[in-house]
Amino acid sequence: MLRVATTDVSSDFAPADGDLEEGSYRPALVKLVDDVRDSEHQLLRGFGSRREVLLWTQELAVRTLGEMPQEWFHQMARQFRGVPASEHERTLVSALLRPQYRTRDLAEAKAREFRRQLSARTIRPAAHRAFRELRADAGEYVDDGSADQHAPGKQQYVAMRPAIHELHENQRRTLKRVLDGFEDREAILDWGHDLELATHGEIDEAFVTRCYGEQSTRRLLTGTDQSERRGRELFAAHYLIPVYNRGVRDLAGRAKEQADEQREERQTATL
Amino acid sequence: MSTKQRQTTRDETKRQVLEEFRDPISLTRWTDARSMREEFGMGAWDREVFNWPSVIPNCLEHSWDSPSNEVDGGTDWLARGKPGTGKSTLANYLVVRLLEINDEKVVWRGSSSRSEWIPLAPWTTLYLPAGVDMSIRLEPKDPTNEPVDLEVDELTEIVREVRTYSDPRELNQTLDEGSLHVVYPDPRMRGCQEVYERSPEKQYDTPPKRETLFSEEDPANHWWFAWFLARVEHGPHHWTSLIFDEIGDVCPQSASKDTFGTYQKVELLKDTWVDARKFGLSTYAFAHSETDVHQMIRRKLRWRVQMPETANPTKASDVVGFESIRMKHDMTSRYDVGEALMYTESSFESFGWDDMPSPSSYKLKIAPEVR
Repeated sequence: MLRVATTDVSSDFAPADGDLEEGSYRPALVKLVDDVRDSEHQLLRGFGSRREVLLWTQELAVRTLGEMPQEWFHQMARQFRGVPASEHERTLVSALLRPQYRTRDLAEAKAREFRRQLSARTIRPAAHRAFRELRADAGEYVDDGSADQHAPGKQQYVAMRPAIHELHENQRRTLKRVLDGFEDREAILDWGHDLELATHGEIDEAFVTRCYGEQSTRRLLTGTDQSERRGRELFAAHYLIPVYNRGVRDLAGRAKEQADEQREERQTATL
Repeated sequence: MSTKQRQTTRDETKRQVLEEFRDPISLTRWTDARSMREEFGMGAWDREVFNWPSVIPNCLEHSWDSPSNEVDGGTDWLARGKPGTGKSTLANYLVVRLLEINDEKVVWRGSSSRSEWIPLAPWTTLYLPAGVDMSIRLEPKDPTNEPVDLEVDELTEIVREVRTYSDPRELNQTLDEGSLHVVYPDPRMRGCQEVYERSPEKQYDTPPKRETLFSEEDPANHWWFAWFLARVEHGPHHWTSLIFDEIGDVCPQSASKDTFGTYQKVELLKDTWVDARKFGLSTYAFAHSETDVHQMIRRKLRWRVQMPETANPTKASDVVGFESIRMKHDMTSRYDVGEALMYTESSFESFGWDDMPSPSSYKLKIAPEVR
């Protein structure tokens, strides 16, 4: 029988250091697999905060080379909206958090099962597609035998592609900045430049202008309250991470594959 | 410190302490809708969350003085989707919003095979035909469990109140504003023919070998044609909404001039429709597919809701009665359960809702006793 869900025992997912030290003829592919394995490991362990979930989501988009379904990022964004009239997060976000960080009751077994399902049903197929994309152009190295200059464990770049790694760094930095909040209006403009790089130009033309110009948005981005902090998490989930993923797609050379582009702008109001 | 000063300080302290308490809940404002919303964690209705006021807010908010671009009077929709795509949950959320927004009388069409309203049972007033023996049974969803038979009296363990009626006009007099009523039709059709005869402008062929359009031999769900007419002709004309679950069972596309006069009754319903709007009667219909419902009725339905897993139409010719369709692409076939697309001829908007768990693993089935 095909085992759909993966095991609970987290050590199974820890990248075994020994393996990584060994050389590989196709280090880019091995690096890809190891990175996704690490993301999955983090997922199965659960997260300590909504912020961690967001950072993980961004990293996952990069590590799967933009192969995660665009709609999935919109789903996640909806989950960040929270339950109206209460402080609780929605069920799926709860399920991603470790029990002590949740604000609503949820059977831990169910939460674990949910995380495994997410891993098995969504991440694995995306990782598989990423692998197949990459294998076509992953370099093969057969040099002298001093071996570990191409050891995947020593590679710092995602899929051994410096450009994608650079995008990742930009995304992570701009994401953290927005989550921390800005000191003043001017900082928003400055951040706008970095955002261009971080989204590989996929961000809407008027986006930064609106962040700067709209009073409510500005207050959200520069405020220091707990509610504004949570609001920024929603903001990032909603407006940034899906666009980051588009940026990854574009850079990874699959820009034309956006069959679901018209679904992008869908924002679902809750009845 | 003088006595007077001490008194002032005490008053001050008292006021401060009392301010720490929230205001008491006034019973007059404690509506069913409010209590349902608390139960299901729903925020207050806010039309501003929708991008297109003419679509969802227009359909749900009933008014005699609507903003421009929105309609006055009763509204309608046809929600179509396969089983398991969330129609029942949507219907339950819809009821809560209708009660909240319009404080109206909501009537849910009870059917012997279904009880999708069970999540709202604690707030429900159940109507059963007087003097008709009813079989009341809780059937397990897991068929290996035993069903449980209930007496009528025992129904109040599940619903708030059980009332009986013997005439659709009389029933309408007793509906409560701001309340949900689940109505099971009268298989004896009492009062139905009279309602029809008292609307002399409505004239249809009497079925062959019969004296009357309505008769005890008719399928029980034909009672709904008479109820609809009775509500429009005889009132009371408070805002009323009919949750028309499985409308295709009552007005099938295949309706013919059979021995029960099904086709004639569908025509009667169609002819009553325009007046229904004017008298504040709304109809929210649910069906598996567009073609389950007779096209005379489909033409009257101005809003559509497309449930997930089936593609939304992209051409006006896909929807009877529509001359334009704004959607250029299929969106809904990849939606998740808990989301849908609502559209009119001029706009569309996606919306979603949370899950609403059923309180029991049993289904309530109420049907006239078969003799």
